[in-house]
Amino acid sequence: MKNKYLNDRFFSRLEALAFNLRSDLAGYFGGKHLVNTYGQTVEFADYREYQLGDDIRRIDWNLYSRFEKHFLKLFTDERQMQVQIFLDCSASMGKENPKKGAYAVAAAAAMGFLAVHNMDKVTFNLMKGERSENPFGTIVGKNSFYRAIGSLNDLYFDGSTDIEKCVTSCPDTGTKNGLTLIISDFFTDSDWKKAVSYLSYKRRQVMLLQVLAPEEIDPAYTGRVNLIDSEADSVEDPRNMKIRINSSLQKAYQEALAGLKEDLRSFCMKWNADFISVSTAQPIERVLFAEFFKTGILS
Amino acid sequence: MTFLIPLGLLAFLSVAALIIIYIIKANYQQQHISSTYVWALSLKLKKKRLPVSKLRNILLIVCQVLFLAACSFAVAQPSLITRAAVTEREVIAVIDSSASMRAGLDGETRFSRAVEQVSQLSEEVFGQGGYVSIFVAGPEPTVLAERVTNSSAQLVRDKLSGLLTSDECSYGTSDVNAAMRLCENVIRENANAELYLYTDTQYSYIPSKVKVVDVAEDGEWNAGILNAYTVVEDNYYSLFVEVASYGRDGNVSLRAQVHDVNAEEQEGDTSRTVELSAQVPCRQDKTVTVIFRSGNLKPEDYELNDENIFFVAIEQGDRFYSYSDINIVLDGGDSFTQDDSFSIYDGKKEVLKVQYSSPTPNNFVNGILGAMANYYRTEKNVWDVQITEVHSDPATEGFDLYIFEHAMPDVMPTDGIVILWDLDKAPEGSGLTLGDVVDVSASGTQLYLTQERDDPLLENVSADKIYVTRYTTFLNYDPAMYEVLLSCDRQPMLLAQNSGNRKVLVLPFSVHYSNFAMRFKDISALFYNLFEQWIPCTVVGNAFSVYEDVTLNARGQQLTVSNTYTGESEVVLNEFPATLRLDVPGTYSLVQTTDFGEQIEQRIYAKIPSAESNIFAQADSFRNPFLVESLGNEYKSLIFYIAIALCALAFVEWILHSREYL
Repeated sequence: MKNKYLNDRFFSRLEALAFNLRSDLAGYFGGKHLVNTYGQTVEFADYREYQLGDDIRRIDWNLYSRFEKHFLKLFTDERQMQVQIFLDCSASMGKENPKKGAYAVAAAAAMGFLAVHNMDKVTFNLMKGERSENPFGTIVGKNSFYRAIGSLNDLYFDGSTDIEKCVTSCPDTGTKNGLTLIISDFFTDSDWKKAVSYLSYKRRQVMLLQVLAPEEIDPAYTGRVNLIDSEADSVEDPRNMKIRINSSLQKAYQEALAGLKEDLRSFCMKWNADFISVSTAQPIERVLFAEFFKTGILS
Repeated sequence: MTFLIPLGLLAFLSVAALIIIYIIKANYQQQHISSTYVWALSLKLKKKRLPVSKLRNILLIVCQVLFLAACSFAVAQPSLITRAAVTEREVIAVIDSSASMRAGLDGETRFSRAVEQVSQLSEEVFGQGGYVSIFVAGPEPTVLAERVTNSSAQLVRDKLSGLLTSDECSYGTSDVNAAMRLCENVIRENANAELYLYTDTQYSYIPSKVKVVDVAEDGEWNAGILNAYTVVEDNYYSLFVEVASYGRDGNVSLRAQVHDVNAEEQEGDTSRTVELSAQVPCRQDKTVTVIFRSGNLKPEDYELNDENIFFVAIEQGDRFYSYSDINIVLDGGDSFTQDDSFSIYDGKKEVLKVQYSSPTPNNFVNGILGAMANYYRTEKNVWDVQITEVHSDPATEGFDLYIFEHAMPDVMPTDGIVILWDLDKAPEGSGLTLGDVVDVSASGTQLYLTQERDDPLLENVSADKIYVTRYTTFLNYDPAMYEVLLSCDRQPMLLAQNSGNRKVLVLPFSVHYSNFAMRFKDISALFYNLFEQWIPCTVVGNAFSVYEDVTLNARGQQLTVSNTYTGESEVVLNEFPATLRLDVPGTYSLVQTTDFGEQIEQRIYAKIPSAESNIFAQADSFRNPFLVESLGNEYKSLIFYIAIALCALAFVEWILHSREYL
């Protein structure tokens, strides 16, 4: 199914945005992200007293004439970041509700576009089962990005996903060099908290994006319902449920969902990660220009 | 608890319908969703909050089942039986205890037969676990046992045997209708009760459902004296005796003993007894009037049916113009002995001696005394008043009533009532001291009397219309002895003393100086009250029926009554007038000692009702006790409680439905 979000108009609107990652990150290559270290840019940052081994060409002689001491002139540094996007490809993300999958893909694509647009590297890790696939490799440049996006349009959601294993088993998570975005509905028994902990341990900026369909936020069905889980292997799968949905159970559902969100939010706050929960009923532009702006990751 | 409409319990099938609905309830609607993860969380959350949700569901089903059950109960109209109709056999036995039930053969009376049969019936019913009620139909019906079960069988046995040992059969006529009214109480409880009436009366109509058991036996018969009395004819007494024989035709032997005949002709204390006898032909249950009469009279002198009259001539030497009492006996060996004898005690009346002492007797006093004597001799038939008139030297003993006018005796008599009228002096022992004579006759003044107190002696006496013009005053009198009944100008005009053997009446004026004698009504009332209050007759009449209430008086402090028939202990009466019920037939002796020490004995006779002599009596019918409305089962409806239960169940179900977080 053709993803209706991924079109030129969508990407053209994203061109006005820029990543605003944490400054304590560090990359190997130069880029557009201002970091805490001193570099070779032209923007003055600070003075430092000369030390043995410093490049004498960076001594500020004007200061020497005034203080008869050698001071070095320091300049800011800008680095290239690595944006890793882990996309949950389980059935719950789009098998029964393709719009949810398209919404998630669009969000991933938007973040990828912003990365390449800001001269960063981006990798799409598709979480399937207990491992994540990186079918497009490290994407640098818009041409590579658009090729990859063309493949994402045909992404198929199936099975279940173990977020923890997918993230921790990823061979190239990087260390302190960028943003890791996990896009999922987090309707999983896997320990996603370990994944966040692992990424925080890697000193990466972490963001969790929860994508929910409207019927998942406010289920409309009542009465005696046999709920068939899209990730269920068969009808007898224990994840399928025969329940009698009434107002109390609906209320309990709301409370359980709120509890899940709160769990995500509190855990993310604990590990200095960002969390955004969006509904596919919301226009994706609003998510990007509002929710992401609130976190400060976009500017 | 029972159900008025048991078919209503078919509504219980709705419970089965409910179960079927639960079984075949609609399948779960299949809904494909992305993930059931949150639903599972919600269930855990809900289960954590409401761990008894399963119990709630069970409660819901239980409520629904109970609701339907209550509905079906309501349709079936559940009720509590507050009074259940009796299903066991119930028997009511009514024993006729009229006097005729005393008839019998070989020492076994009808009453004893009835009691024996009732006893057998009771044992039979007790053996079947039923109820027994026994009523005795006497002059006043009594309850021997009412709705008694086997647990009280011994009590019934004791009471039945007590009927025989204590001779509970009455001497009067039974009130079967009243007994049937008692039966109605039992029949109202159980209309299926069997009613047996043990009697000797032949009823021409017997109400349905009542079984009359005839306890009479062949061979029983009775010849009895129905009544007896004397009539003065041609200066001699004729003795009338009504005799009848029931159940057998033949001659019955009648004997009569007339005691103390013509006492005036006898010398000294001797007395003569005349014996009369006759063989009375009795046939077809007819009443034969046997007349012992003087030979001078003829049968045609009586306007009676010749067939029912049997004349017996009294020999000339046996004719009697006075007698004390007559005992009549019927010999025959019949089955009923209570009517085989009869006594007449009206031959000799008590003599009341009156002395009227006056130097100048006046006709007013004589007239009053004569009227009193005539009244008590002929009207009330209680006394033979003998009046003695003296002009001087009056006796002061030997009389029951002394009347002294103008000339007073020296001493007061002590053996009778004394009337001192127009005193010329105060007799010794009178407690009086006379004063001056007040005479206003010359001036034409009339001093009217004033009644000082209410006293029975002054009943119907109009004191304010009596006046005097001359009277004697009292210098002194003992107020403790005398009561002033009438006065004039603060002077006593009528003093009365009535304490024990001192009964004195004092009138200190002469009838010549008063209109008292002219007011015949007042003076008659005073003397009548005097006789009634101070000399009351013991009893009026000498022949009574059994169970009749007799009023008795005494001139002394007590009266002893004894019955010669039963020989039971005497009854001593102390308050008068007294009422005595004559419970048994026979002669009653009334003995008393007057306040003046005189001993008086009087006899009366109580006989059984004449109708009871007919031991084969017939009657039309009696009250039908089965006409009363039977109560049947009584129920208390439980529909109110079922409705409450329905409301409660509906409320509980609503609570369970609406308060899901409970």
